[in-house]
Amino acid sequence: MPEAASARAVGGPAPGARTGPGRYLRPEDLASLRSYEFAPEKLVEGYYAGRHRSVRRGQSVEFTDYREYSPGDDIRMIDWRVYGRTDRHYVRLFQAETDMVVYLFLDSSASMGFGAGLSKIDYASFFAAALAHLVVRQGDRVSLTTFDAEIRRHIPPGSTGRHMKELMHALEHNPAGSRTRVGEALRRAAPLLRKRGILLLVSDLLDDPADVFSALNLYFHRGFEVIVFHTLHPHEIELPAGGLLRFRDMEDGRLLVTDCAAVRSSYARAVDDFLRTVRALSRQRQAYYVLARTDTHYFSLFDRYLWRRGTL
Amino acid sequence: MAVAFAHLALLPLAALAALPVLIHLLMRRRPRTFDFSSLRFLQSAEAETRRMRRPRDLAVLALRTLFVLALALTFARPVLFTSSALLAGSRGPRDVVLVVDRSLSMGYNERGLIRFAGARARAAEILDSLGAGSRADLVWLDSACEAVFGTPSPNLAALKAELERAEASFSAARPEAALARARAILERPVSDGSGRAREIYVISDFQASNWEGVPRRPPAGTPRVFEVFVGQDGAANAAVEGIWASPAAPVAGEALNVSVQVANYSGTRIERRVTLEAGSSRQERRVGLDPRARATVEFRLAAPESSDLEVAATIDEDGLPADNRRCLALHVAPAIEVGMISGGSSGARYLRAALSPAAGRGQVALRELAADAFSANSPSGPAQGLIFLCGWNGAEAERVREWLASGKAVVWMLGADGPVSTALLDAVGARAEVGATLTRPDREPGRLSPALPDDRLLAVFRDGASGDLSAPVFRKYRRLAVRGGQVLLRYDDGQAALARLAACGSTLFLWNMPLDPAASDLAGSNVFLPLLRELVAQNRGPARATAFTAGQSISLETSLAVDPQKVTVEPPGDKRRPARVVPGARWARLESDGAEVPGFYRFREGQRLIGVLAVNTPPAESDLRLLSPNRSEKGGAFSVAEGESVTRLREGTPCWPALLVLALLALAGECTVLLFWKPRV
Repeated sequence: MPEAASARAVGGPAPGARTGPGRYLRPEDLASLRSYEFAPEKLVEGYYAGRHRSVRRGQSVEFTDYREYSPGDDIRMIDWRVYGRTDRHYVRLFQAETDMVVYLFLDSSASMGFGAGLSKIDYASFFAAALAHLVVRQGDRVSLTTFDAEIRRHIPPGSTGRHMKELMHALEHNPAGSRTRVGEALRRAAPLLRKRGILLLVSDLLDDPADVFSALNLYFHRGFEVIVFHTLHPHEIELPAGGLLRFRDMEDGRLLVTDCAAVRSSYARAVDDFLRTVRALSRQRQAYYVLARTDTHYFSLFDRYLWRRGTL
Repeated sequence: MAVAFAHLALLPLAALAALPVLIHLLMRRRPRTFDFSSLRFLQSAEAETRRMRRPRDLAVLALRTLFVLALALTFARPVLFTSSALLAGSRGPRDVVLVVDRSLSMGYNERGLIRFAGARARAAEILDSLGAGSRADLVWLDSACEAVFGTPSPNLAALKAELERAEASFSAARPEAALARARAILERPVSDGSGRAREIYVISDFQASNWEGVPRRPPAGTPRVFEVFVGQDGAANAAVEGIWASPAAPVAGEALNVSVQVANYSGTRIERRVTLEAGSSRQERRVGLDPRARATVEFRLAAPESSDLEVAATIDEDGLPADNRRCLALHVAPAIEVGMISGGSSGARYLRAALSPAAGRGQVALRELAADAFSANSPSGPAQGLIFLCGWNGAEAERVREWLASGKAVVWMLGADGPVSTALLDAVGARAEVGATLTRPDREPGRLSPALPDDRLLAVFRDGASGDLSAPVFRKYRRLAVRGGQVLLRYDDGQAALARLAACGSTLFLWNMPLDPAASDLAGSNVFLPLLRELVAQNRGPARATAFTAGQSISLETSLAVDPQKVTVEPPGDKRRPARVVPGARWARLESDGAEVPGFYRFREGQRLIGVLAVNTPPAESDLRLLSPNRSEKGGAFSVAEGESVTRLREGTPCWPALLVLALLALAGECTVLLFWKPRV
């Protein structure tokens, strides 16, 4: 079966099996993740001093600008050399460094349950767990929001071991739910995300793409960096060679009997159109778009993403 | 261009053409269910694919159906006939008998073409198609079933000339007789007839009323029969189906009810004007007739003075005008003829006195018959229609039975005293017992009561205006028990007083009411005359047999003295011709053959009118519903429908090789489509 083959390629366990500290975070993966580092491209907004540049100006070594002194400024920041030349008080401004918040948005709708060996939601969970580990390891904070037609669970940002444990528990107890309504979930989650950061959407996007990106506009306007991991099973991109099949929609139970061989090319064209539309919308909004096929190892997603960002 | 099937029974195999569709429906696989994330893209792909694949699927279905249909038709062995086959002639000499229907229904005008003209054309076509050396004969399918030659003859030109001269008749068809005649002609040994094909062509409209029940499969070993249909079913026709008068034997001045029955043989409602002509009077009525319905129209006439009254009922003309008129010849007698054999009975004088002056509505002519009445030369006996046997001793019971058989009514008046022979009752098979005399005491005489008060004979006593039936007293009468008839009057002790028995097709009355004053006072009561009047008026005997069907011989009995040399018959619209006279001592029977035209036939002696007979069309010919063609040659009979050529039967082109090729081509086409037509989705 193609599903089984893809499961082996990912190296994931059988569904339901528990290994090591968590089902989705295995020791061998932890070792492999040591060579990765996750960093934002835009300025982030954080509470604690960290390794990432903040939108706030503060104390650091990286000079950015001068500003005329005003009462209340720290007089230690006055540049006396400039005062000597201009007879005016100017203070030096430095780019403050802060911690990063990564918001993981995991689609948990019924369609994400597709895949006999390794479902899309399993694949997405492996990826989310690894990413969360990576973020926490470098001292940043990570948040998790699972949704289908609505927000199913929201774990606020955190970076402690306990937070990580809670996050892993949430991933492991996150079965595929009901219908996909990505746009609606994003709109509802907007008030929950107080600080700007990286919004990482892991979804099959089986919704109206225009509506999804319309909802993402809320985050774009607030300065979020949005990364879309479009998770698809190979059989969703290319129909299985099954001859006559009765397809049952996992979300609404509708039935359709058709000959796979007869509709394969038409189907592939329709999916291709869909992917092209999603890519185009991502490009317009300057969001990162990564197609995540479940028959490839999720580490490759890090490779592709980080390679694009030039941090690898 | 026409097609016939040699193996018609296999034609239903063509229904197998539905097999591909049925197989598709029955053998549809139950595909396994596959849970899929979303049908969103599948639905659009499926819609697009279906649009692209449908022409291919339809082509496959059409080719597959064509294959099965062509294969099934191949087994039915269709034969294609073209007009050129008419000129092909025959393959060899044959002996052929044409049975051509010229009965009344063949005169139907079907959209401007008389059916018989079509039959003539068909017959000529068959004669033309016969090859050199063939012989033929012609049998007319009507009431006479005559043959032109009586044996197959090579003189086909004479047959064609006979066909040209012939016209449709007014008589009924006798299919079985005509077929038997045709077979007899072909079975007659003729010189040089060995090895020839023998065929009978029946050219007819195959009226269901005539042909139903006629075996259409010829007996084994007899010549093949080809049924050539002329005419189409659903012809609209209305007819005057019957006409009768009441009373059927009127007397001068009597009121007459004439009933005319009109039938609608079509499938639509019609309205017709019915015209009755009687002598110089003319009456009209309108009648509406539902599909396949009959209606009776009543007319009232006054019978003229003693004469022969010609009554004719006519409806509006239609496609078959011959049956739109029906005639009735009524002989109006000057008085009701009543005969009496008294035998010296004491009650006879009271009967004589009652009947002599008058008997109600019509005059009564009482004739006392002498003993030699039993030996009259006519088997129908005396001329009178009603005969009273008064004081009869029971001798010559067989002759009385003959009178009953000829339709005369007989009233046997049982005397109160003396022995009675019951030979007549035995002769006619009547279930009645006549016993000894019963004497009632003076203080308790016998009285009458109606046993059937609603009977027509006793209707006049119902309101009491004609007297009280219980008024007369009876002191003596006979024991009489009747089991096989109707007791009309009964004594208070249960004995039958007046009984009516059906005997030999007529009526025998047993009158157990003595008229002798010593036995009863009936003769002097006021109920006697009304009772006798009703008895005479309602049982005046049969009307003269004056209704005949066209094609029959006609005959008229007369008691008038005629000179056989001067007797002629005058057919309707034709010249007089001599009639045969069969003489008798007191009767003469005038006969004429070939009453072929409906209407009134007048027998005359010189200029003196002796009698009138009515000849009408056979009612069965008016129903123009036809049989369906038998499209199978199995059993030796083969029908050629209207519009098909007769001779194409043997000169047609077998289609099965072409159909087989077509089936194979369809199969090849299907394979080609399946292999090479890949829809570009």
